[in-house]
Amino acid sequence: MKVFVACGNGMGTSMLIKIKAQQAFKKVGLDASFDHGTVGEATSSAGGYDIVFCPMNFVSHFKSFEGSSVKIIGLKNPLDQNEMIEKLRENGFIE
Amino acid sequence: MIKAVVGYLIMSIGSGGFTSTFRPIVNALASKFNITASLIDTYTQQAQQMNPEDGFFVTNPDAMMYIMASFVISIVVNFILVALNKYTKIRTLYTTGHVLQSYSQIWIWFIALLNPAWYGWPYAIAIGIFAGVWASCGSNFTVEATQNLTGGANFAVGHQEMTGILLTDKLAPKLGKEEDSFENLELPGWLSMFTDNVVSTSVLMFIFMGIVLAIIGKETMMTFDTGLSAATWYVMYIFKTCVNFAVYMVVLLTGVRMMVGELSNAFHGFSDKLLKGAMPAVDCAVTYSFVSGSVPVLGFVMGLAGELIGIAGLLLFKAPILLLPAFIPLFFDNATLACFANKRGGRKAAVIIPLINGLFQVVASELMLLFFEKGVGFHLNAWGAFFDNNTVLPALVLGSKFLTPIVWSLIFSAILLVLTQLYYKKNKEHYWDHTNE
Repeated sequence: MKVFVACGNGMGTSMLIKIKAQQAFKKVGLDASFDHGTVGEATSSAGGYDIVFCPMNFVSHFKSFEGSSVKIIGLKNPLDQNEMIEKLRENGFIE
Repeated sequence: MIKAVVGYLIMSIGSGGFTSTFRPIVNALASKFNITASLIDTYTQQAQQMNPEDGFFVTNPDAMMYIMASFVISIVVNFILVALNKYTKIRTLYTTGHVLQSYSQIWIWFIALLNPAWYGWPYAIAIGIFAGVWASCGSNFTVEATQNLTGGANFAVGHQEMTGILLTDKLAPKLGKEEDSFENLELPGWLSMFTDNVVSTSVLMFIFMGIVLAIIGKETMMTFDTGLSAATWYVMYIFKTCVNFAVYMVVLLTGVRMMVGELSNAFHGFSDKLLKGAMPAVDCAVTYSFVSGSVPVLGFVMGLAGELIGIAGLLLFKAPILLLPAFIPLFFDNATLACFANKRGGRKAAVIIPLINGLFQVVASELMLLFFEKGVGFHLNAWGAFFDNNTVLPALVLGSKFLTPIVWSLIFSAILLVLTQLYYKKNKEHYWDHTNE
């Protein structure tokens, strides 16, 4: 599975979510490779990924991906692993 | 290690691009209007350090070693201070690697600009220690304000406006009422494009740099930029030149990400397990998720208004350095302060504080650029006008000039550690609440 983590400047927040997500994925036994970068990069390359994580306020930038195979997952608290796991479950990545 | 070196060299390519784009404009302005220009921007500033003509660092391979060493020392110092938190009262692990890296890079450069003899291992180590102490104490000061904003999400802000957050937390309640804060503020949808750094940089540059280029005129630009010929359509030239700033920012960011990435990853891995009583200090943008609606964008808009008022003032008083707004400090500084202001002082504070801060960004940038221009004899292409860079960094630079950098960074570190003890005394009651879960 391929995951892209996006934030405004592609530096701090996305890096942090990436690290938290890696830990969360490990916890639930999912195997994935991660990249991180800006929302701008994500909107142009999200098609090549299975999941895009971003802070909630950026979800609206991804309207064009509605109904496509890539799942856009907005996070309320970028540091909360439980929220990530909960949302992976909602989207059917884990049971 | 390989990735760090490659990242550094990628940064130097972005650096060359920044400078070759900006230099002809500065030269043209100087010749036509007898005025110099600088940007209010962090990455343009960081880029200049790596340019051989300006920074003398790229031609000297030691530079990368000093910067990396100083960066690693700052991380280690932070780690030690947190590990000893029983005595130091430092609760925050500074996880924003790219900011720490830029501290090392910019500060080593500035100190060496003050006096070329102030360059080498002792200075790299002293700056690394101070950067570590500053990052630890500064982020620790944001814990209470951030916990209040996020409803106890157990993190602090580790970025370049930590003093600004502390000050906003104190000032905002005097400006307005907490109950009066924005809920679900809806700004026009097109404004949200400014949250994308590439679009935002391009648009801001096209507007402001575009005006400057239009005023300079094609004739004059042709004598300073050999890439512009009589046959080129000037509007397209302006567009390309302005968009170039976004291009080189992306290159520079890619370099920084590569340089910092591995180290941050490794650091997170073991620090989570090892440190008890610690919470992470994270990038300022994480707080935006805890604010409903477009408050960050409001901060950006008000900050821009403040900067424009300031720039109008510079023109009115015929200031020797013209300033132009760029994206990074304008957005992230003011957006962050707006979030904290909104929480503590409501609408009024959320509008007033970024407005004043925008103005302050211009004033502080102009003063520090003038200091370097007149006092040091060096033209800086930009000032990275985050709140800490407008307050703590000038204190570091000016103090170093008079007391020498090593003595001053040790005194300054001691002052910060004492202030942390006082801060602890004041907030004793709930100081360790985050460990109670």
